[in-house]
Amino acid sequence: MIMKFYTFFFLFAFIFSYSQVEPIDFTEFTLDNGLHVILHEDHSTPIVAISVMYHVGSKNEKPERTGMAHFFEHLLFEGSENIARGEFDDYIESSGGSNNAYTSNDKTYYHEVLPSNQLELGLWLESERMLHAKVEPIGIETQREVVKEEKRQRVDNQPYGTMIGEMMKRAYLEHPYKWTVIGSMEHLNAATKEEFMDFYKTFYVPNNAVLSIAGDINVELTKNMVKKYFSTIPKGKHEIPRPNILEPKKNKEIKDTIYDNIQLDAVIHGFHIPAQGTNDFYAVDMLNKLLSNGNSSRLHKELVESSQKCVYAGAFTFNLEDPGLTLAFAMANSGENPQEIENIMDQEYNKLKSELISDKELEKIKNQIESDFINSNSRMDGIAESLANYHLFFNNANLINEEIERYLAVTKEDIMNAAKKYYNKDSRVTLYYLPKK
Amino acid sequence: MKKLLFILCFMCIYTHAQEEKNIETVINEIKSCLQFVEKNKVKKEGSRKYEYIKGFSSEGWNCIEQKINQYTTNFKFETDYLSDIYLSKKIDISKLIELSTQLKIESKKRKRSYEYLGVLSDSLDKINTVIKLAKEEWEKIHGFRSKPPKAAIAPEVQIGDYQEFKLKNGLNVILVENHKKPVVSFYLVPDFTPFLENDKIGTKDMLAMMMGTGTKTKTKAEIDETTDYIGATVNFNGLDGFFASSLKKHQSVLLELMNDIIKNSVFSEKEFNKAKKQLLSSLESQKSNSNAISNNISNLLNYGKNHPYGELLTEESVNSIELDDIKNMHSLYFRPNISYLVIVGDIDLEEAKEVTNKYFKKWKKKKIPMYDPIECNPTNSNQVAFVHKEGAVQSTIKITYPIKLKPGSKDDITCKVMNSILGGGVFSGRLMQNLREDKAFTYGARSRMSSDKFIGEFSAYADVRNEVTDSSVVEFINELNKMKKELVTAKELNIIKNYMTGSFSRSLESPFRVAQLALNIKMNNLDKDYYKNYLKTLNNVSVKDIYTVAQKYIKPNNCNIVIVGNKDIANKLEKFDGDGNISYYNFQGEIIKMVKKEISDEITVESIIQKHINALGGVKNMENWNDIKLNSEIEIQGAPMKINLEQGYKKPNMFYMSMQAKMLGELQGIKYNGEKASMSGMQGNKILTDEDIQKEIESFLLFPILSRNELEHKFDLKEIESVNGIDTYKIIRTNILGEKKSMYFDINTGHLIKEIFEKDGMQNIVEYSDYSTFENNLVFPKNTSISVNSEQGTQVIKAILKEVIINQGIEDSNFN
Repeated sequence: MIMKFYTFFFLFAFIFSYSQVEPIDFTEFTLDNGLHVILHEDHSTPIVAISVMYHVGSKNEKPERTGMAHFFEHLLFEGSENIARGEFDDYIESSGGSNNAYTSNDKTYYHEVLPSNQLELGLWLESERMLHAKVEPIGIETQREVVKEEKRQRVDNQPYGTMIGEMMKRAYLEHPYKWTVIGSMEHLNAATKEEFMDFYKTFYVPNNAVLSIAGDINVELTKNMVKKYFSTIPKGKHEIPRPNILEPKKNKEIKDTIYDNIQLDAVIHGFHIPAQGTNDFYAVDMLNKLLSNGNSSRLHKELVESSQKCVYAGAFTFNLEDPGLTLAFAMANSGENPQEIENIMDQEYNKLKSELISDKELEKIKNQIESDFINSNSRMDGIAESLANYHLFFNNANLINEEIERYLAVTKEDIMNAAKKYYNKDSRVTLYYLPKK
Repeated sequence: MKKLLFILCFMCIYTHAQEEKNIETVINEIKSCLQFVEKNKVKKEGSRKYEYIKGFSSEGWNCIEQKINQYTTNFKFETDYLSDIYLSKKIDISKLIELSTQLKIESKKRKRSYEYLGVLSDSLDKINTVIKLAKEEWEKIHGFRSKPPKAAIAPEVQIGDYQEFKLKNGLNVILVENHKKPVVSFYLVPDFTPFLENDKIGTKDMLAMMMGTGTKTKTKAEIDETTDYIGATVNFNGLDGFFASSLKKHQSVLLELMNDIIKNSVFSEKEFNKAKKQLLSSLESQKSNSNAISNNISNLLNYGKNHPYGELLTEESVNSIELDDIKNMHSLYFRPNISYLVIVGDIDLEEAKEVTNKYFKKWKKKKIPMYDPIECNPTNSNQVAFVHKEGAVQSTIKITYPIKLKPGSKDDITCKVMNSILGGGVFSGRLMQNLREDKAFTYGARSRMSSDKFIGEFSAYADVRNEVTDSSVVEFINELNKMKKELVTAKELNIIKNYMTGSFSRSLESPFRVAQLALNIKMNNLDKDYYKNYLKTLNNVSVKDIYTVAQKYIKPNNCNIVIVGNKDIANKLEKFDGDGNISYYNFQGEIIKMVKKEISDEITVESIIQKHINALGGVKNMENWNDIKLNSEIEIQGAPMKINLEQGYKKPNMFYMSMQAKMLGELQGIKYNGEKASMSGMQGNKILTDEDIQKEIESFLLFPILSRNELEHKFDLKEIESVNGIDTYKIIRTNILGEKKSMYFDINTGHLIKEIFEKDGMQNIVEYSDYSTFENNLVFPKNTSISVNSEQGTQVIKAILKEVIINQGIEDSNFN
């Protein structure tokens, strides 16, 4: 009897003892031209991550010029007034660094990791990009071809590569999330040099960016260096367009079949969810982990392990600034009937709506979230990115230390409510992907 | 018309005057207006239309003037405007001055009507001055940006320390403490001498797939549940060890699981069959993967089939593996006394000792067989090995030979620097510059120099267009010769040193990398400070050192030149072979004869077809039926269930096909009543158009070869080619739509054993085997294997013919 009590007590203590992690310290300030700067000092390795996140993504594009934001991500490696064509990468590589960039619906992000004695080089490169990048016909032409090749490789030739595009254009009829980040090649072909220039002058301005630096730096010296390279970059003169469109609620399921160059059938559901940072968002995200994180997760277990109807089953939440989408995806074993698979998926959603999840399952996803959270900020470039992201979209860089609390506050009831509120057949988009005949 | 043009021109300027524009645009506008005036002046002077110009003058020029004034006064030296002004740097100022001078002369000549030209000219002067000043101001603020900043003093790179101890059972433990995060990771690396698998190649792969799928007390689902519950990562890879990581507080659950899998692993028949199937599927898809073939052949040639590195996986070897082989290998080699357990994370030495003793002590040691290393030497002269790949549009080139280069040996770092200059780095490598940037033969050309405890390898490789295969080999060999004969430049060396220093430093961010370095030291018996001195050693590499190692390791005349591509281009490669003889291999590494066998004169397309028809039972038997039903079983790679295939034929020309899976019913069906055809399937029904029917008609016939004349098939006898060791006549058949199909007829038996054709942009390879005689003396292949290759990979479908039922009386309704 006593034994039992102790076990219980131990369990209780266990549930509420989440690991203590050293918080990530940082300094932040804003220059007169509006550039927000975040610095994190860590001397474990003599390297530094330098990044600039611009608050421009595909959702800021004009409907007749989709793909511009992503195109700029390419174009801005072409060089600047002081950097000859193609030399951007050479500077990084010959100093032993690495660099890359990406574009999403909401943002465009450039980053490099350099030996810490090359911090100034990184600042110089990023300031060149912000002050006077080359927006010239030769670069535009070259990158058009590169982007077309990228589209062929990543979207057209990729099995299920069109999935997100097909989903978004049905889920969003009004909001600019309806077009893909890669956009339309016709639009890019039609854009004039003036339009490119205009895009650059509107969005690539210090008051629309966050400069985030993490690594082996001296904060005071770095502040001065940042001022040297960035404070004389003029503030943008144009107003920055931000779409203010609310996607109307759907009250009927949209169902479609896509025939593609694939071998295996797939069923995809898209459900509308609230924007990132809202309470419900965290509940939805946890619900998704329950469905698809790990071999014992509900969808994987039902569809892949037990019934062996699928080769893969998963769920994925988009982190979006405006109300977004969560996807559930199941890829069938050959010969399996997609309708039967969809029925099982529906059963799983219904179960979430009618039964509270067990304490053990809640504990499992909390453990997973904690583990992901602690493992996530283990590299300097990851820290630089998270800091910039939390500042830009949550206006609180300290969420790098605190966001986990929002997840851990989610209750079983919250998860059930989220399922009831958002996992509804009438407002979802359902796609069947079938092999082209 | 003219008036309209004028208004448009005016409007255009006027509206734009409202907006802010950079000077470049303003000047362009002014220029176009001037052109307009010029044009009208010449043509219309003295005519009534002159009025328009006057009208234009008074209003248009006003507007221009205002605008210029606005610009010149607005250009205060605020940073906001500087970038605009700076961009206008590209305006040819001399032109501006010239223009202004001309305007002045013009205005003096014309006086009244053109007085605005003078004003304009003054304004242009003003713009000019502003630009000049702006440029000066710009220089003051931004001039420092024109040159890249210099690097600060290079930081000292510290490599984290490691600690080590050994358990009684011989398990070597390496610990890298890292208390930044409450995370611990354990990974195990068995360090056995590579051994031959002989006729059971694939056992190691299967063991890797099966470990961690069950223990005496836990099913796979329970192992998954445990792992997921603590949010851990756990991967078991057989003799390649395992990786397991979790938060510190879940450490004991994780270790308990490791302990269970290490000591109580169960290898079930079910998981064995699953793993075997998976391995066979991956082998199947290798058949059409040029890189996999290229690697297999170069391993075979560099190391030889009696060396563990040269053994090739085959279907035969996989099929001969038994469950006991897996168990035996596991019990023989998965032992603590040859293994390193690496611990990384939030744990100190004392605790590491405590937990390893608790969880790994009982893992039993055993004497592991040791093998003497087998010598591998480069060939005496260059040898070309060619693997024919039907329909290849690219050649996969690999120029390779074994090297005796041990990790951490004196030459190791120098060789790595040399290789980076040649083709190892991410940019500027010589191979990349030559074959991609200069010649555009390929998307990427690289080289690799791998050091290895037993035997290392040099290789240079690229995928190139068919027609430049030989030219590419020439360039590869040239680059090897150049490296051997000439000193590299100091600039090249410097860039690579920077690059390698940076990459090394960046890699140290991960504690796993630190552990890996410690493991390298232990496994290769390196000096404890080897990596602490790495950057110093790297920095001391001289141009001359590189020259010295090049003499030793670069062997332009002792290479295996392995080409996977279309055999049509093979003869151009003879010149590279030391003996002038190319060796041809199949994908399994067997030498095949590609010597062109002459087709004797009496052999014609018709004689081959006649022999084929006779082999199937002869025309008489092949026509002597009213209806025939064929029942087969189908197996699709990756699909767990059995599918049955039923094909029915009825005179004169009716056909149906139905593919059914248990539980699911019909997957696909076709019906053809001689006129109309329809297709059914899970995606609904479809009536075939006449065009569709024409495309498919051949597949509606039981013996299409008998209808070759009606179908207007054309045949072209090409050559004798070996298919899986059997000599065949290759015939290209063209149908009425111009679609080609390669057909391979066994020279001896007359049977059709292989067909290759394109369908919907995918290459189909059909192989027929095990021809057997059925009722009425009709002969059918019992096995049919179809592999469909697309960019996404290869899908293999196998059909086994189970029964042939003749004249059973199939109802007509089956065909409608």
